[in-house]
Amino acid sequence: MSSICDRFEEVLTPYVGPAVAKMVLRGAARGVGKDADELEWGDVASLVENLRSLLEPVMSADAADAALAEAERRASL
Amino acid sequence: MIYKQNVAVVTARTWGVMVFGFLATALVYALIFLQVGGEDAALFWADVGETAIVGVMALVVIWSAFRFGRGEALRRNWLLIGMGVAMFAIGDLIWTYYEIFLGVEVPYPGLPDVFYLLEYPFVALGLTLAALAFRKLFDIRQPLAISALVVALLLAGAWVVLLGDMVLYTETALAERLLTAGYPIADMLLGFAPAFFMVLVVSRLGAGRIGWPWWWAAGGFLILAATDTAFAWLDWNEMYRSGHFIDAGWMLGHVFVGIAASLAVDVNTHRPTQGSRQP
Repeated sequence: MSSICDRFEEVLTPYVGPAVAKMVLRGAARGVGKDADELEWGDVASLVENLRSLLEPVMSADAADAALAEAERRASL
Repeated sequence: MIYKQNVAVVTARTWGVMVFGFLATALVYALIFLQVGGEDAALFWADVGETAIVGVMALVVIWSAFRFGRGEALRRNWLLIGMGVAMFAIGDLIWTYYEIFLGVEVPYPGLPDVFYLLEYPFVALGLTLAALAFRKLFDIRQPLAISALVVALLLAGAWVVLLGDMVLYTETALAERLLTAGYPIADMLLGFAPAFFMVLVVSRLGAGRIGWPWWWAAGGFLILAATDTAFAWLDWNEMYRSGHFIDAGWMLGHVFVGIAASLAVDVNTHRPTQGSRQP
């Protein structure tokens, strides 16, 4: 996986578990037309939007926003 | 330095709900079981104690629901579950009014049954919507099919062991027979089924923390469904007596649900922890 995908997976795993984190990332990456390991920094904004729509039915908006902001911040490092 | 993920922490509030719920349940059950103060006092503790514990848990669940933002799925789901628990508490309150304050036999079928039965649709809807919400994350058709199959088998088994006799026994009024059989049927279809479905769904999350509250909630409703069904069987076979250990089931099941709701607020609160690097 790309390091961007790894960073998102690190943040999502405590919330949804490792297997579902991988699955969700694959789904969100497909939404931007790529495989998870092909994600680049330019894809992050769209990836975050896709992840938000997947997570908000099962998480509070605050927690989803904070987790995704944290993942985005880590991916930028 | 290894980065530590921001973690949601189980708060003192949730520990408080847990300690209060378990201790209060143990205390009330001990007072009932040991018949402290005689039979009348035991009846008082059974009715008032259960009403108080379930009432507090209804408030905890409804309060927790309002911690989520307006329009959020979690608010709707927990509010539905909270309304269900509140219905049971109102049923208990009316039961207590008849039995303790008026000192008369509670009518059966009667007004308390209306509220007891109203818990089922609220809870079933809340739990089912919450479980279905995970469909965006992974395929939930298998858990849905398995839970439907298990419930169908349980209903068939219950018909052979209990429900057939209840429905076909003609020496009591039809309304009473239907209600007596209705409770275990509702327990299985609207209590056990959504709770088991939820267990199968959240098991996919492994240790993922957004699943934690749903384990507790499903556990609570499984306890309630088992308690109600066991009560129906014991009562039908004239084996139930006040102080039976299943008396604790209604309190314990609702305590689990109260803990679940408080925990849902905790795991959905984002808190930076030591070790988090600040931007």
